Amino acid sequence: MLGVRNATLALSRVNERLFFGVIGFVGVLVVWETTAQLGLYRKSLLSTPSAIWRAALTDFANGSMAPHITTSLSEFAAGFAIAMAVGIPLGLLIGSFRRVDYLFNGLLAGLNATPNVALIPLIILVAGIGYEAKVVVVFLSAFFSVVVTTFTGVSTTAARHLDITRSFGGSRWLAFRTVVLPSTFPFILSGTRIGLGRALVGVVSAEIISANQGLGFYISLYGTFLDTARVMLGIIIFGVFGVVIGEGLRILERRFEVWRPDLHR
Amino acid sequence: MTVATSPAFRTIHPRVRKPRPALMRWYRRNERVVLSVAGVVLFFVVWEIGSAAGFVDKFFFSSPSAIATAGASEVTKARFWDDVRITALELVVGTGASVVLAVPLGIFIGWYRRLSLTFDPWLNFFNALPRVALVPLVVLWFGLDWNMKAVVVFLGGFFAIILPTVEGVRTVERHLLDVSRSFRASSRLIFTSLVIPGTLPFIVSGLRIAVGRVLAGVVIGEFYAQTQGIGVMIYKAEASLQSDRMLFGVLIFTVLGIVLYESVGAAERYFQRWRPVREDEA
Repeated sequence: MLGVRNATLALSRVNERLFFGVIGFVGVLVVWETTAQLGLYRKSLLSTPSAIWRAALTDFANGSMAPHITTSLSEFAAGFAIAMAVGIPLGLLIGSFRRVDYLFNGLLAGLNATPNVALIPLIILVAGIGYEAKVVVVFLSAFFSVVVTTFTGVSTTAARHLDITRSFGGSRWLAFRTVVLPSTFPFILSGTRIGLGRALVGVVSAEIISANQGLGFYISLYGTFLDTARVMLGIIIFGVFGVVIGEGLRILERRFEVWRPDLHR
Repeated sequence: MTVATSPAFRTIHPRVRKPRPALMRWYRRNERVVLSVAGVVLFFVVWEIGSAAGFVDKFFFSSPSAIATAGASEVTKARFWDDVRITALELVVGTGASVVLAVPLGIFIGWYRRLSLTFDPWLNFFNALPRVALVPLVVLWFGLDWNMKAVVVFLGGFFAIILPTVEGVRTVERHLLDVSRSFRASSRLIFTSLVIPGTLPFIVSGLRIAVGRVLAGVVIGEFYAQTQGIGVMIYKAEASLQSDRMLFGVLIFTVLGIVLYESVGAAERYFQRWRPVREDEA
């Protein structure tokens, strides 16, 4: 009896979350559309959901949107893949040796604190305004957060577990494989999540500042034409992309949350 | 393991340790600081030597000494201080507004569960959205003046702070609330003694995220609008191929970033010191 009640209660809780979520989502859209149609503000400032929808239909149908999306996606994917491929092993390496960790600590913290978008002019100077430049921007945006969280993870491995491994005659390699790596994994995941967010900012910034293709370029181009509907469309696509990768990583993180120490970053 | 081979009793004499020289002892105690300073110094030395020897391209990456020279001549110019003032104004107004609005609003939204569920999708959307994508839109609304950059800064800070704040209020421990209510604590008392202290660490960790976003916001805003500010100085220096001046500008943001991160970190430690140390953290 009690079990049944709890189950229905839990179900209503889930539905409640969905219910109010949908209300909030739709409510804002309705208010947005009606206030704009009533002429409470100029439509060029915020566009309207219906206008954005029409813009989306035409741009996706005539294929003018696809190249922008694929350009942005491939810049993002290439830069981020390189950042992971270099950042994770480097972070593991630095974290595994105490003195190396100390040596790089200050330097990497400083580079991590630099707003990497400030380096965009330098990257344009070195790599031009093409594809490679954006890959470098994405790489730099994600790289430092991946390295820093990875080596933080390694250096916060519970010392007791390492001691135990050593007491039982385990080699350094065994300790690395069975103790350090699993306890660092959650950190690597959060580093990846933070890095993904920053990489997305990197790709947008680089494209808004100087590009001839890509979603960021699309936004800034139609911004200068005062075509707010298309500006909004670009923003929404970026937002959806951000939500999808953020949520994906969060699901992965939750899977490992059981032994994950708090890391608010 | 056979017992026979090892002697049954063995006296273990404590090893007499020679006292280490004072310098060595000092190094041992401060190894962490010494090495990380050494790392930074080494970085600059390699950079300097590299640009002098030619394996670092001076044209692109300049050299620490050239940056120092450029910086020294820069700080004597009135224009530079105007840039600093403008950037500081944008940062302070934008960040201030985001804290002043996000914290009370976040507490309000978080306090009413259904309200927080209603706002959830939009808050999450704006938090996941790279806010720099909003820059062209903000320009449409506010033009190119300093207040547009302040708005970009505000957007960076606002969502970073409001989300953890809502989360913090929402996760105030249920049973503590129940106990307070059972003892007929006024909502004012519940608020000041439960909600505020429980939410503070969340607000601070929101601030930590906000630091990076706020700085990125001001830089992007200034790159895009190019009126005045340190970001404009960086951009113009790049356009005229003065990499030393450009890197001096970047360095200002680096220092600012380190200072802000460190202060937020100090605040974080301060507000978390009452927490019991968990076993796996010890």
